[in-house]
Amino acid sequence: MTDQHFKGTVDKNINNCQLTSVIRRESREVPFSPFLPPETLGEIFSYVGDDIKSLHSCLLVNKMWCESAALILWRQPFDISSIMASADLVDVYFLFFSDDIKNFLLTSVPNGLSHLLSNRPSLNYLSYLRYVDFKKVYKAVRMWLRCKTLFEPLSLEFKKKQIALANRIVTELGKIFTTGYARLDRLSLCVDSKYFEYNPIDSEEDCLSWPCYPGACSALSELREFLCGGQFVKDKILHTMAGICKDIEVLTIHESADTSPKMLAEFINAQRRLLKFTLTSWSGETLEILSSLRRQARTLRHMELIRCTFPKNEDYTKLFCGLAECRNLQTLKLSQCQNLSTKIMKPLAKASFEQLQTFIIDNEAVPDPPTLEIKNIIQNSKDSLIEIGLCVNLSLYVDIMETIGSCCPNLLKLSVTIERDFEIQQLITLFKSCTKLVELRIPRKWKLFEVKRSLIELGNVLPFTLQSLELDGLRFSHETWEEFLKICPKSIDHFTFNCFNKSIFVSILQKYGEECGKCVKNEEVLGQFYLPMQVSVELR
Amino acid sequence: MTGAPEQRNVKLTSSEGTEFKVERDVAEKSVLLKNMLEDVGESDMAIPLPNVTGPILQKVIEYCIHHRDDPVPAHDDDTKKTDDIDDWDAEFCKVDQGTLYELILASNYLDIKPLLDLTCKTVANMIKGKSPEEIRKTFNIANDFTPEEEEQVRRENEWCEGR
Repeated sequence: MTDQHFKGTVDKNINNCQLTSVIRRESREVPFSPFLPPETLGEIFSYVGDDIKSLHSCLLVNKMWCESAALILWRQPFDISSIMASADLVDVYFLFFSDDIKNFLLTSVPNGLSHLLSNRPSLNYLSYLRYVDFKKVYKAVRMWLRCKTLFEPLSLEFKKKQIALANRIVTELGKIFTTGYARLDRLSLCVDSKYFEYNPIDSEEDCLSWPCYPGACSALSELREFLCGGQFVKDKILHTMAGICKDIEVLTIHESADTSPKMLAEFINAQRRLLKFTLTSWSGETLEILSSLRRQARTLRHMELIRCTFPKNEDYTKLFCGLAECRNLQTLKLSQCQNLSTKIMKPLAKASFEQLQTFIIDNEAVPDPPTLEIKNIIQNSKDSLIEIGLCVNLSLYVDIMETIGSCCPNLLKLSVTIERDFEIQQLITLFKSCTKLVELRIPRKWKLFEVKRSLIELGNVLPFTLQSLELDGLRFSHETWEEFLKICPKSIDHFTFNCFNKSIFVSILQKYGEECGKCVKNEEVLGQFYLPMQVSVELR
Repeated sequence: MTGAPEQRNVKLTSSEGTEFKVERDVAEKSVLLKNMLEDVGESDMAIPLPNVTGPILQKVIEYCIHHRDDPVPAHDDDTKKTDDIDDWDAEFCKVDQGTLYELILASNYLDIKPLLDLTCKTVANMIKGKSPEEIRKTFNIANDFTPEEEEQVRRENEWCEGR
């Protein structure tokens, strides 16, 4: 694997297949005995995958092993390297820049290539790239620049120059990642405005719009997963990608930031088999976006709407009509959305999600809460639900536990907020028919709800299948805790509860464990002088 | 009421021509054989397996008989663990390296995913925690890098050295 083997790496017309065959042919000249079949090396290394150090050893065994190990290590290198080490990745990708770009960047960073022995890479690492995350690349570039300019005096002017240079390098990296030999499966263009100043000018190539660079088609046409998020208008990216990517399976969009709903709807409409869609912090129009899901009715399995604001207007009674047609839906999560009223939810009440396994709704107070609609979704799921999360004002949903009890015989996980004693009584009635539960969570909503007798009543009815109990939303005395644990099923291995910094709560739980023949797994919670307000204890 | 239908035997011929008779459900642990049997239908003809030797086919059959009632494995699990090998499987893989490699090739050819996973995991466990030199020694592999090439690869991949 001399420089000649990889001659022309930076040449745009390089043929990667030819290169690979050269490396393979030369490797076969070396006699191994017995043979470890090279065609299965990749499969074997995929089991070494979590042990990066061992994979690094494999790289250095011989040329054949080197290529197979590099295929795994360079799939998503920015994800498996530390932030410090990710600067070294920039060094290597730097070698793939054209001579003009290299020369230009090296005038600004004279010792840019000091780390490497050659100005040509040993392997076409770029062709192994499958997943890239803009945020991590940007951080790696900033770290690289910092390492290269450690002795430069700090000044505002220097900082400005560094940011401009970082943007330029990220732009060039974006070009080789999206227009070079890479074939990406997953792409994340998510930015954190606290860390990254993004003010693109329409007339210029900007460092984030990787898919919009000329020639991005080949690297992105097989993309399966796309995440785009942050406080910036996503129109240009979505519009370009709608023309390139047709087989996105997992789509996540964070923050509307004046993005046109039409562009997002166009992008969704262009897809042939969307499986999972997550929309977070979308405060603009959603009718067009959610209606576009009709095109994904056959394939969509997972839908999440988080912190979205829906309009109060009467016209929006058809908002969820498209989603209601997605009959193969397995997960429906509606978290912290505003104005999720009975009118808006009506189409979902008529939907028949017969494969729905997870239904989570976390609803703010609205004048007309979707009580009947939530009940209907659960009823229409026809025994398929195994996980339910209800962060609602339970008192308004008087017979919801009865509905869950009669319609969800296979329920394994339940999360429910409790704010009144009446609500804990509702929960107790559930366990007359819900006998397979494995995980019960009572999360905190606004403030902690104080329980005494009712907690003990709950302990009396908990099923013997229960393995995990989280009581984040409850406050109780250690006497109540002791009494509760005495009658609790002995099957529970995981507890989360509010101990208010007092070790006596943990001691009582330790005693419960001993009675069940178990000891505390996370021993650090034992004998601590100062405990946090809330603790998690694992028994084994 | 009738009982379970009687299983027909399937004949397999190894590369040297040795014939093996196995019950159809055992043979169908191999996706290759399952598809062939579905295409061919009922037949007394032996299926030739020119890529598998007799002793290796014997081992493969032993594995398939032991796991005949296992459910069909889930498709493409992202989490690839190597510490979940049960006692029988671990004992099954206590063979010389040559046999282990041939089992990998045979399970790949016959498309028996659980056996391919098991044998690959076993080799992966032999790799983990070793230096390049120790790996070369374990697998009897010659180093075909020049010192300069090795140093360059090492430098280009320094980013994962400390992980």
